[in-house]
This record gives sequence, structure tokens and C-alpha cells, in this order.
Amino acid sequence: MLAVLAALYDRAPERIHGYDLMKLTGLKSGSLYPLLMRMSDRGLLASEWCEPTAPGRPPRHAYRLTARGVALAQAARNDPDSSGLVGAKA
Amino acid sequence: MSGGIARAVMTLALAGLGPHRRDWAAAMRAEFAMAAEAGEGLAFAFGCLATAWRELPAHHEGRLALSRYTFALGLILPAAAVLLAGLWWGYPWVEPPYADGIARFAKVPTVLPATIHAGNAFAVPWLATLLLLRVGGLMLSAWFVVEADWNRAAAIQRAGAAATVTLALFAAIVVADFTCVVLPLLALCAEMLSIALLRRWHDGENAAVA
Repeated sequence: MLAVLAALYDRAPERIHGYDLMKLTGLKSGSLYPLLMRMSDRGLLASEWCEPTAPGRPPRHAYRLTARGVALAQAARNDPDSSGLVGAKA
Repeated sequence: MSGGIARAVMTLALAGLGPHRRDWAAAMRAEFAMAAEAGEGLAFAFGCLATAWRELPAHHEGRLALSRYTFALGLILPAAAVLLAGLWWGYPWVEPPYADGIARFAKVPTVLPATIHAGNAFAVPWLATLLLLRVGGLMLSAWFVVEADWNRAAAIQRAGAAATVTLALFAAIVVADFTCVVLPLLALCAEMLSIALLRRWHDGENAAVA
């Protein structure tokens, strides 16, 4: 989860698409999507639909950290041991 | 070729995500288009399938789907496999040592003769064909259970019950022994019990959710 938090935090306030997030973190879709779902359920992640950039393409989901997510990312960056995320499953 | 497989895997994955993850399914579909363009569609689709299966126990439809797969793969298909193995070993004409074993298991007397007359032997392939149809019926039944198509599953069950009764009647006449209907009867019982329990549970759960 640290990798996803860090990637989103570093790009804030920019929103990132799922596939780009995979490339940034090196996570596979089977690891990334459960993490994103869990983060969204916990209120750490906000998502919104973006208009397609080319005709015939479906709209894409883009993600950014919520205020809670930003606070957790900051805490994890300043003190990874006390953030509770060290050792958490990717 | 791999593009078609990837799309099929993706369809399976998205179907498994359930209504509460509909937005996520749409998001995955959009990103799949990007991954496919980059030549990574298959890996992406399998990842989404893993995600969907991981999510199954977390939602109502997922739990019901899991129960259907468990019954189909754990009970109905093994019953079909046992019948098929029986056919391979000569069922419904069972050699005396095996017949004795089955008779002891089912606690039924066996009066099976050591040899079979030519006239009676003529009927054995037909009985075997009936049993083969029964195996096919069980496989269809497993499919309909997975699809939660209870009406078709029940129709297959009725046909299966009729086939088993026919087998019992003709076995009594042809080989004068009921040992050869023990396995089909067990398969029928497993099928009827599991489908009835599953259907009842599904109806109860769906009523509770509604």
C-alpha cells in the first residue's frame, strides 16, 4: 500500500489512471485493484470518471488521495514505522 | 488469439465482481483497453480475474456463486466421474469380486452369476449407454447449477431419476442383481439433495436481500 500511497502523494493534486498507476508502482492488476478498492472503502482514495481522450474509448477512472489519504501518506513518509503500513501486504 | 482469450477472461472477471463493485468493473474495462493496446491484455485480465475471485466472499451474489461452484465441482461432477469410472470398469455388468464389494457397501444381497448369457449380454451395452447418458445429464446439471438455472437443473434431474429407475428395472431383469444400480442411485441422491438444498438457500437469501 505504501507504493500506491507514495505514487498518488507524489503526483498530487494530479489524478492518476489505474493503468498508469500500475506502471508507476510496478504492481500487477491483481495486486493493485484490491488495494485501490480497500483504500477507497477506507476513505483514503477518491475516484472520478474522466472523459475519453479519443473517440470510441470508454471513460476512465482516475484516482487521487483524500485528505485522510494525504495525512496517512505524509505520516508514512515521515515515520514509516509508526504509520502502521510497514509490513502491510501489497 | 490471445486477445480473444484476454477478452473472455476479462468478461469472466467483470461478471464476478458483483453489483456493489460495478464502478470498479467499468474502471477495469477501460484500463483493459489501455493494457491490451500495450500488449499486456492477458496479464491484466488474469489480474482482474484474481481480484474478482478474491472479492467473491465479500458480497451476497459472490457467496451464492461460490456455493454453486462448490457443489458443482465438489459433489455433482465427482458423482459423474464415479459413474464414468464405473463404466470404464465394465459397469453395469460388474465382475463378481467388485460386485461383492459394492453389495457389502450397500448392504444388499448379490446373486450375480459368474457369467452372463448371450441374450442378457445383448442388453448390457444399452444399459451402459443409459448410464453414459446419466453421466452427461450430471454434467449438464452441474452447468445449470453454476448458472443458477434451477428449472433446467430440475428437468435434468427428472430425466436422471427416470433413467435410474429404468436402469434398476432392466438390471433386475437382465442381470438379476441390484448391485449395478447402487452407484447411479448414490449419484442421483447426491444430485437431488445438493440441488434442492442450494435452491432453497438461494431463494431464502434472495428473499432476505429483497
